[in-house]
Amino acid sequence: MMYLSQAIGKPVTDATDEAFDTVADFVIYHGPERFPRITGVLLKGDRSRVAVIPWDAVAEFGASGIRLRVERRHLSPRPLQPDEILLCDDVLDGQVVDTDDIKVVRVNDIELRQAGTEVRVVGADISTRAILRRLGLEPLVARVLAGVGRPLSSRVIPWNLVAVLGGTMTPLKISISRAKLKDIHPADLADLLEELARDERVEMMTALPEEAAAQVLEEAEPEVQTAVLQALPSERASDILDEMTSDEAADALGELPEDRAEELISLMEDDKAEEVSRLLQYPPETAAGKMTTEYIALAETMTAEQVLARLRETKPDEEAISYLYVVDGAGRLVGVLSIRALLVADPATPISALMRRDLLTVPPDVSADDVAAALVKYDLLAVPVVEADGRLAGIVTVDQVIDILLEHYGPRKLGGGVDLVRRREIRGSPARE
Amino acid sequence: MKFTLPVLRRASRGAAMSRLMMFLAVMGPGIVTQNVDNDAGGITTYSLAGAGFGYAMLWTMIPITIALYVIQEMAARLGAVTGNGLADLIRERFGVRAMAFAMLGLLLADLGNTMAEFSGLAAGGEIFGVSKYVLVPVGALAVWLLVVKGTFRSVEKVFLGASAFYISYIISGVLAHPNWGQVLRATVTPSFSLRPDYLLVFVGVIGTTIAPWMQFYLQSAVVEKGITTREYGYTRTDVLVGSIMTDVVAWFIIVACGATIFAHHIRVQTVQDAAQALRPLAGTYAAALFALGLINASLFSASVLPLATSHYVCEALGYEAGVDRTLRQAPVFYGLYIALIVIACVVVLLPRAPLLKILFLSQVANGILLPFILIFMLLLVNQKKLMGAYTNSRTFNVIAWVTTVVMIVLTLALVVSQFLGSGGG
Repeated sequence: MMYLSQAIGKPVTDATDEAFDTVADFVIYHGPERFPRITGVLLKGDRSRVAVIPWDAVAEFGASGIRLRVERRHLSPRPLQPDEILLCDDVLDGQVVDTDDIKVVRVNDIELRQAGTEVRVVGADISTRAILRRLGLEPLVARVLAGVGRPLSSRVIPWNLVAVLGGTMTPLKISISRAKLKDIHPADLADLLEELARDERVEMMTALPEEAAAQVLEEAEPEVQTAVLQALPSERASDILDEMTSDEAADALGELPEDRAEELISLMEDDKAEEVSRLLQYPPETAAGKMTTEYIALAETMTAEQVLARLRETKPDEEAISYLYVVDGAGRLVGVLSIRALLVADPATPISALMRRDLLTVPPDVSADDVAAALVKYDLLAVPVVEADGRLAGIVTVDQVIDILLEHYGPRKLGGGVDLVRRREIRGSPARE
Repeated sequence: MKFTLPVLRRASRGAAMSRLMMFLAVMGPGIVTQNVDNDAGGITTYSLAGAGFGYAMLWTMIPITIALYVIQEMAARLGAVTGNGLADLIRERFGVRAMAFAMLGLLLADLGNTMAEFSGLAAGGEIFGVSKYVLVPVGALAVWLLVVKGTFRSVEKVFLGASAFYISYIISGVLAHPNWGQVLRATVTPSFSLRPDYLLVFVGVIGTTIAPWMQFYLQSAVVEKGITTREYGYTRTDVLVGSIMTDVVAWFIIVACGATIFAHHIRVQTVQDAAQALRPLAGTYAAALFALGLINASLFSASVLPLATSHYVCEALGYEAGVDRTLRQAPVFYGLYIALIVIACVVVLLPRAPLLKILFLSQVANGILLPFILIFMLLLVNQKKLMGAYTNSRTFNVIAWVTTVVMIVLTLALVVSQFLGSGGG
């Protein structure tokens, strides 16, 4: 076992035993292999770092350096391939995602393992010990800490659990990143997104399927949303916006500079673009600014049976199903129907006979704080936003209210204390399936 | 099919208006950075420059403004093009040793800056007759709560608003009726001296105006705002406006001090003396006004600086950082943050701690660290692989390298002159 930092700078000798150069970097093929092989080496003398010496030319590799099979003048360097990456330049000291602990970590060193002349990357060392080793302070600090009874520990993440993001995005690299990220909960991915640098964010949002990317972006902080929508190629950004709920998309677009927002809206699907443009007209800190348009509106002429059939057909999200709103022919809100009333009713009953007519509504321009107060006071899961002419414009749900309340009264972010065991349970629970 | 955004549209009729809206939306990083930069150490250093040398230092303001803009623009450009913070880039491009060196320097300089902030607080309190043993711990606790409870964002605006205090220097400078002809001549006529105290103030003035931590701070702010090369033009304007604002304030502080303290041959030994520069405006309330400004600037910067420093160091080393983590999740981050505040407080609370000296010498330390950070920035900003088409122009390189070399030469001259000075005296 050996560390990358110990192999860099070591002499390279050729078949005549002449030490003619030193190791500058190693090349790996970033493919589906769990523990990738080193495929080539770059030399210090090659200043522009373009001539890869293929690994076939290596006869011996060890702590004392590299010995080549051939004479120096018979070397046939080749250019770097699209799916190859450089261990020092691209990975070491950069950030990677630890897909097991779901954290963004910095690679302090890389662990290599050797079998014959084949050398594989086995893990990313993220411990302080690796930094000390590279600074030449390891023995000293280890001795001091051992003296006080706290030996230095190593922490190496197995390479198959490491996702290297950023850099050139080839189709292969994207597919590998997708495979590595696919089991992580969108809310966790949103946390990771926050920690990543711009190029890495772009790769994550490109690698994820559109619906997943949309979910992640919905979960992300507004500043992160803005940064991601700015950095992504316009086509991809608008595709992701198409998959977001209209109100989330509108909120995200509202934070962007006008030119960029218009550009992205023009690339979105027409009906979604229209909906988002309508939502963007409302000032953000009002009921209408916070409302969602993902709700269920039923015509008052329907029967209980028809409604159930319709719900089976449209399969609405669980958030949308707490209240079923009933509207007249002109789109005016006339009542609200509970799932309970619907289930226990005789199938042929018209819903106008089942619905409650006394319901709490708010006008579009009332402040978001007042809406929050109303939901809290009356213990509601959602409140409908109704225009002056009685038309139902949208609903504000308890989800949005929690966000409003946290913005005012909470810490900037909750959940710092949720430990991973619990997150895993959440991830594995059947409720999400 | 093209949809328009009616609300935004209404607000921004015409191209000029829309450009202005865009500018206001992106505005921030540059101007905010400059406001944090005009901290207790800054006020003190400029005051000492004016009080000690009259208008003789005014000429430095023009070259310093140019250098400040060039360097801040580089930091902002690095952020916009790479999407990475400065500490990250140093780590990723130059490795662990360079990073350790830069972070150690930054940590020490910022420990000095944090001490300066608490000295400013203590000195401001003294003017009101409040003991530092009360005010400094209370201030430190307030800063800690503001930051950790996450209410800083709302309070930030109060601090920024209170920065309007600097206007009092502009008014005071005018009311002191300086000889404007003389002032303007001094602004465009370079003069120089090898006297140790002159060199000390010179390095301090540059160090406080172009502080190393500002480059880290600005670059991170640009990255956090998600500014890319697309919006970069507006950020450049923001940086330019910020640079000029800072130095206009600095210029007026020097003029005000030169027209009052220097003209009356007062030797500045305490902060109380430095406050006399505000007498033309505030009369007998000069000291109170000065103290309020000092306390505001100190608290503002004390909320930003130690936190930002712990952030950069942890990010570069790969430790978790941020006030949204718990103490258990980010022990190094909190450890550093607490250590910076506690050490700074303890030093300031030592009986007979020379507050004015701490305020001033910390800025000299900034000046000494500056060239090293500049060299890293210059090497980064000229890397084709990193910056593509956005590498430095020749003019920028010349200005930045000249600044670097001047700072190194000044620092060496300072060391030599201090050595000779103490040997002779």
